[in-house]
Amino acid sequence: MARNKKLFLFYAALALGIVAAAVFAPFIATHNPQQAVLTDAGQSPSAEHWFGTDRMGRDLFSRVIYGARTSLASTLALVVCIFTVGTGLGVVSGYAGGLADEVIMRISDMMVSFPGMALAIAMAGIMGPSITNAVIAITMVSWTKYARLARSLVLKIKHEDYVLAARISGCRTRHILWRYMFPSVLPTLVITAATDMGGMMLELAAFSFLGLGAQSTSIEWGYMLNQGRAFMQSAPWLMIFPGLAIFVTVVVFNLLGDSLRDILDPRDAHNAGQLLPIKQEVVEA
Amino acid sequence: MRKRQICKRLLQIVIVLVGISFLSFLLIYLAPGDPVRAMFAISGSIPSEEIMADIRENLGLNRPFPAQYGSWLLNCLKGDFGVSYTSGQPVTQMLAARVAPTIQLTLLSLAIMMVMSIPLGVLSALYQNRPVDYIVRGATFFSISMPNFWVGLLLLYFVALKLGWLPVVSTGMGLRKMLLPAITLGFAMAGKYARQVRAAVLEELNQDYVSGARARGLTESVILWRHVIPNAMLPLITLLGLSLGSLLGGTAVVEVIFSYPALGSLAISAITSMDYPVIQGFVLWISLIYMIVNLAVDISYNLLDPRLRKGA
Amino acid sequence: MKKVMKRVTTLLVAALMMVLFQVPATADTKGSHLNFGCYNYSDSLDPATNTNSSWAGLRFGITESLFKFSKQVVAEPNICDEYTVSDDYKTWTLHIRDGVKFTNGNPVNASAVKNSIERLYAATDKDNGGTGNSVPRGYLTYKSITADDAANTVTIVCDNPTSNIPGILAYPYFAIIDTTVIDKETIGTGPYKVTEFKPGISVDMVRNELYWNGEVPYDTVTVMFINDSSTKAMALQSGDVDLVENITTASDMERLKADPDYHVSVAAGVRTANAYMNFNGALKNKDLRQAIMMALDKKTMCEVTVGGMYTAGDSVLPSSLAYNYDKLTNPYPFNRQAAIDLLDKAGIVDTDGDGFRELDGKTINLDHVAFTSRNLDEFAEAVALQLADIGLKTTVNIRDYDTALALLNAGEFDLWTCNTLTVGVGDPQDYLANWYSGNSKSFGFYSSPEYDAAYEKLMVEVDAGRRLDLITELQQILIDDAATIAYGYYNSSMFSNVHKMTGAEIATIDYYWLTTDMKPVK
Repeated sequence: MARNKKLFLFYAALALGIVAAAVFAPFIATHNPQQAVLTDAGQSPSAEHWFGTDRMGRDLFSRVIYGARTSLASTLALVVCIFTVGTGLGVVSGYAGGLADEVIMRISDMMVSFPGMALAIAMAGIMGPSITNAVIAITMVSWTKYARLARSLVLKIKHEDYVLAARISGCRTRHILWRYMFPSVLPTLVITAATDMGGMMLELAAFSFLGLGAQSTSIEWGYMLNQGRAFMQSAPWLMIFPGLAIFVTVVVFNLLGDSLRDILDPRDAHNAGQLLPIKQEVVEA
Repeated sequence: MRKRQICKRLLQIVIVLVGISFLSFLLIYLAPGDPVRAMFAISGSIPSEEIMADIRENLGLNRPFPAQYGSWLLNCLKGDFGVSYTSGQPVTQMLAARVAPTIQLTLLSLAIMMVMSIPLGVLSALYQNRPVDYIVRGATFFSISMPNFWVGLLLLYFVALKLGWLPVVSTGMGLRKMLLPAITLGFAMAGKYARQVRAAVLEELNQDYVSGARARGLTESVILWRHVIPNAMLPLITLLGLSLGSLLGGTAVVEVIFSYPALGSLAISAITSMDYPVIQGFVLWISLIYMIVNLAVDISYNLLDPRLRKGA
Repeated sequence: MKKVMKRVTTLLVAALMMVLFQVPATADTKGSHLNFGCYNYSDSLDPATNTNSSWAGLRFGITESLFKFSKQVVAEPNICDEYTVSDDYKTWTLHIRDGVKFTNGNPVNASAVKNSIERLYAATDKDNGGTGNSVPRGYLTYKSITADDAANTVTIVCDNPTSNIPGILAYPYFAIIDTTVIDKETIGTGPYKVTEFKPGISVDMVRNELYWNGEVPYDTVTVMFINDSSTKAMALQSGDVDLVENITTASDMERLKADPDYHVSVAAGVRTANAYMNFNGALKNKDLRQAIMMALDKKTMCEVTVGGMYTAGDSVLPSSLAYNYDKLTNPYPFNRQAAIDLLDKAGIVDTDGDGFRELDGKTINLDHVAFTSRNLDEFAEAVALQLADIGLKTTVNIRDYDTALALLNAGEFDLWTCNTLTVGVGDPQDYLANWYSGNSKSFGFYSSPEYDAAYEKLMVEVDAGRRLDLITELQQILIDDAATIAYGYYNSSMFSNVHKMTGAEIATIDYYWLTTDMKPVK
């Protein structure tokens, strides 16, 4: 247990380091990331430009550092969106039951029995490429996992004595939801969200790589890779450093998520990283 | 019993398809901009407002939403998904040309994924908390955390270009041409599966029947091969069905990198050219294929596993 | 249990086998085969669809025109072998070469040629239901066209005196196709015949056994569409393809030039990259246009950003052609501070503090449409960054070529970057027509009485010296008006693997890519 906690602290420190890099980007970056000095285009890594420059003569190191802002902020926004929408609908569905439950669960059935990425690509495409739209599109296809999880957790405690007692004693529904339901579903869902961070970051980066997310005006790793791809042979650093940045960040967040789960949910520790931790509940529900 | 179940599944598919069709119609309906204008913008010249109003009337775009949706759905049922704004070809024809490459790539990547992940997962479980286990778990981390487009680019650069082992361009079909895209996709999934296999094998190893078998004096290898591994693999088949879904829609990235002409890259190019009928058709087709494949998996699963037959 | 697993495995293996063996046999198993890597310029091969589709047919050796440009940009007889013209340059009588056949065996006689031309005009006649976007009327309008099959001659009576019929009919729009089957496929007279066209993926072709003009070297040819310049280079290096056109990443080009395994053929610059401006939008404002001109460091853009693929220039006509480039003056040379001062003085300033300037109370946001061919997307992005430096917001809008073209025609843009062949019919007159107010509604609605007057004189002038003066004057007017952003002049190129093939030379006017001069190495 102690080892688990130590590991968690270590990973948390690494994650904080990345967050700090994003927050203090102006102090770390050696250049203005948007400053295009066209005459300096395509330089290989040097003392002046640690990661080299891109084809528009912008300093790649500074862009990679600033890129952490976009990636972290958009991933956080995405996870929060999915979390809120999914949990909200799931709790309502589980607690209210009846028609609301039926509708929400059928929609979620539909989403589960559908290749999500395809729909997300189509939605992002139709709404027009931007990070915001990518976040909306991915949210729309990903919330169901959280909804199902929240619903099954609510169903478990809905008939517990203390909830019944609260209901009999005349507590209002809203009060019961806030006081009992949400707190009881939160830990599991937070763990799920924490372990999902890395995956979500990859999905957003993939969207930008395809040109459906970030556009040329924003500084984003996936988009940088997309742009650097054409110069794979002549300027491989344009492909290596942004890719490495995504990789390192995702590794750190995945490790952090896993170790958080190990601490909060030791029951699950022996089968780390199970694909469908909610599978049983899905079947049962 | 089984027949009834299949009927139930078919009904479910129909309901889901109607839902998906509604959603994809809604997407286009709500898409920013005027569809008639978009249609003409693609074809080059925008006619006067009166003519556009006429066309809107003729296309029935002034009718209420349910009526529009109804007639569109009716056409879809007849196999008519409209005509592409850019190429002028029927959408059905364009999509049909890309279905086979999509399914082939999907199946090959699943196969590669299994070849990579099953032995590793089993090994890792058998040698739990020993060096092999740590190495495998480390490797799964790589697989899970590497952006698949980055893996693709690196493979393209080293394997195809520097070593010259495989083609750079996957246009046209053939095993050699599909290998790199398939490895890229397989690698990205292998980590998740190796973890899953490891967990499943560990769980089986902790079952009572294993200690029972040991007590009866069965050798470890017999226990492993006869009981543990087969039992651990069964739940995996259901997972394969799910992966199939994410693959069908999620190959766009490698298609772009390796110039592999399947459905994903068609969708991406339709998006850059705002070719709404193609995007709509893409969504519907993918869901249809996905559900048919899943149904097939379920049916064969049913046939294969006598326990399930009884259970149903 | 074991049995179950066995069945599962068998099922999976069977599925896999199906995948692997359901692979169509590729054509290169027997005979000589050429793989050509090429940007996907169009999803169609029909010359009436749009400019790019007409070029594609000619470039892949599928179709041919009545005339063909030589290396010296002279239109020489091709399917038409002789012609006569009336004294007023209105009536042209073209004799069709005897014995030419379409690849499907149908004869190419006078009526087939007449049908082909009439069909081109009908299919592009917007007023009468034509859907094609090609604009043959931009080059030629005629009163009548008649065919005499006995003499095998076609007689065209033009609306106006037209001195350059051979050059015009050499243009890809006028490729001769079999109109009886055009609804299904594009059948021409070229050395190769399409067996399968998969838009966006590939074109499979076989030798045209009926070819009239010598032996066709390859049994089969596959055109693979590869949109990335760097992927094209890699595909050539890895041996996936034997021939590619226009690698535009400078470093890749340098590497291939230095490598004795590859032959690089580069043509003199007859193409201009420029951005059309939409005068129905914010760019109507002349101060804004002038500031944009001064904000752009075109020399660096051409030499560094796109690595020397272009030669920088200020006029719409290439400096390498004999159109008095040296006599032109540019009143708006690169000077960022001057650009900023000009905008400040003109009252185009940032009042809401978002870092971007407003015009008439609205933040300027220029919609810059471009496509990824020939470094154009890089120009567009470089422009956006440089305009940001003077406080102008730009949205770079990268589309595929067909869509970009459509947006241009529809006037849905502020800046539209492209790369154009300036002497498409051997003369820049039609190119300069893009700013003539009679035509400019498709190119951003530029309108200048001065330009129109000079252009109208050019249309009827036949004296070469006076034409040159008029062309010079037209160029200067465009520069003075800051009517379009000329970036520079592009050199077309063709890259081939010397161990696989010979004769891969790029034509000056690059309508001809897959020619019968390209032969496999024995």
